[in-house]
Amino acid sequence: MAVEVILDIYSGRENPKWRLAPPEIHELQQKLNGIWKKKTDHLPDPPGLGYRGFHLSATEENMPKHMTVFEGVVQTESGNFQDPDRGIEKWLMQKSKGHVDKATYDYLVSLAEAK
Amino acid sequence: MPTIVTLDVFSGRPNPTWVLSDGDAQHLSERLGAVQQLTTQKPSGVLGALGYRGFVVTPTEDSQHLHPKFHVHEGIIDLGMREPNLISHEREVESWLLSTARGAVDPEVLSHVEADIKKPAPSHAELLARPPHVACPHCAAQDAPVYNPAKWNIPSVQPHNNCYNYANDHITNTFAQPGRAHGKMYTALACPNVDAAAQADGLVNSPNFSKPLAAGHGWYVALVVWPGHDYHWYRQDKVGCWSHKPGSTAARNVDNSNKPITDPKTCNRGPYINFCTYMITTRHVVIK
Repeated sequence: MAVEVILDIYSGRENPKWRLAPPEIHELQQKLNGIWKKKTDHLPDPPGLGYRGFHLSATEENMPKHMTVFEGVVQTESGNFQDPDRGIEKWLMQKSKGHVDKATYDYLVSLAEAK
Repeated sequence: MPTIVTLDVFSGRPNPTWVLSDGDAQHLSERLGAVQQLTTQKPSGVLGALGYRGFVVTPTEDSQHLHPKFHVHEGIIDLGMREPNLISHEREVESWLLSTARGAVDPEVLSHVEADIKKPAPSHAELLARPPHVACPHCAAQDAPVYNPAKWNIPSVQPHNNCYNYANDHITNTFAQPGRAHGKMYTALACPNVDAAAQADGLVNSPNFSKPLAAGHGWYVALVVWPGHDYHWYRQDKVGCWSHKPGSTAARNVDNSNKPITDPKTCNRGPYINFCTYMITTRHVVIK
């Protein structure tokens, strides 16, 4: 049972990736439970260069196997769902601390504060 | 639950829409599954021409069968930025979608769309040969690669090759790093460091990128840096415009504003604000 997170941000360097700790998986599950009723047709296009969101791969039951979280939308194989106030996205940004270098974490924090 | 089809054809009036039954949605899914040929081309309808611009299919409820939302035009099934598109030269998906439009679309409009769909989808060569929407600069390098994103945007290649692989036109499946093949990888994410690492691999600085390069003498690439975070490379293709592959995403020939790249020095590069230099690479350069 695991959830791997990839921060999609770089071009030349490898993107940072890490696994959520069990309490974080539980917390994510609770956050996801709050969004499944809010489908959206809107699918933001990430830029070519720069922050392009988070890709999540899960082996958890009751969780989509693949998700992309970007600009307030959680994209899954069964549709796109609103992430109100970018709550899940900002939470993932916070959880990147310790898994990305300080410059990248500071950049994510600036993005979270700006939007 | 229903799947909505929109015929993208009007300019002033709202486009016609109609609903597919569950059976028709299943039928559509089977037709999509039969289309196997990958393409990285976009249908011209996404550029907003007047007249028939394709169909937009939007499942409105959980669907086990359909991609969340897609656009079909000129035989190209456009699945969005994260996946290579599919192409069906017989345009059968469009023909079938049109057959479900009876009653929802004026007969004259139906005839207009039918006439367009009877034309064969453009061949890959025709798509590649389409003139860009801006004047590309002259390409002075005989060895410059042809813009062929289909070579890169496939599952076995795309995730494992980055901008450095793409600029050097060399698939290594190692997410190649400047200098790594020669034990001289960059130690800081700044122009001089990445430039020196690339030179260790055999690239040569060439601030004057318009100097003619004869066959066997390589092609032009350009290095830019997001200070302290990352670097990025572009390459000049045979057509004269530039293309790039941002990390593990798809190769493309547009910048962050979705505009063709006539010069990486002036295009929209997002946070990669430092333009370092043009360089020359060749088939003899070794990267890892």
